[in-house]
Amino acid sequence: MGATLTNAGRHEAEVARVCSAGGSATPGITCLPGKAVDPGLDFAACYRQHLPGLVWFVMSLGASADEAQDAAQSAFAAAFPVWDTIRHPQAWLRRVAERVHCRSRSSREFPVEITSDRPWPPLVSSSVELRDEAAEVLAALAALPARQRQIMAWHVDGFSPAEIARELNMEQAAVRQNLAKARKNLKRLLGFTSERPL
Amino acid sequence: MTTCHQAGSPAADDDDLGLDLLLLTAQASGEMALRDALDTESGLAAIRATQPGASGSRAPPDQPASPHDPESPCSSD
Repeated sequence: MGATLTNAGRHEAEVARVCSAGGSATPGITCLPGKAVDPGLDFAACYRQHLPGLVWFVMSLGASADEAQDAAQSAFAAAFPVWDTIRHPQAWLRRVAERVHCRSRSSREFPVEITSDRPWPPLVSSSVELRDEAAEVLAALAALPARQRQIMAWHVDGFSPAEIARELNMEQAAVRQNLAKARKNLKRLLGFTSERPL
Repeated sequence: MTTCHQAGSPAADDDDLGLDLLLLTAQASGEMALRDALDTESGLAAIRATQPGASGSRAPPDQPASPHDPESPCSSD
């Protein structure tokens, strides 16, 4: 990651500064859930604060709790040596965790060698017991086409269509289209409507 | 959250609000369950142990140099 701040980078830094101060009525700045990261937050504090959210993000992509922990842990491990150079940790960690999860899933589907153990020791000190609505939402997300599921996971974490488009290297129109389809399918899957799937 | 629905449709508004509420509630309760279950201190120690010079260090299992590599295989559709 370079050290030069683009206009978008300056804006995001300002958003992070304002939102981490507790939200604002500043014109042009909207504080979204899960989006703001204190720019001064050190690695350990960020890890403790944001690991659960990153694990949930990967679970929203269709991973099991164990798979999501491994992907999130790998993303933080990749971030650790370059932490001071990462401008947007929330987006960076999600991109890397998503890619780790996808590679891991691909290697399981097309194994070329047998690995004997998990990449990381288990992080869970007690069982993860999800409430009904959380399990229901994960099941509905898992039933979406992969692209819709991916975009919805970013969206729920507070990223705008423009930000999602930038992070996933997509056109904004494609993001909005997939988001609309995902919402329509989720409403059907979760019992809000009886609309046909897209 | 951004909502995508036809303006002026009360039924769609209710559905969208309900969906957003359910998604955010599920996220909050999921994160809370994970926060209770995850042993972050062990996780931090494991990461520090992988760094060069650390006792018993080893490379992380999959260490991407950048988050901006080619499109992931999970998002092909």
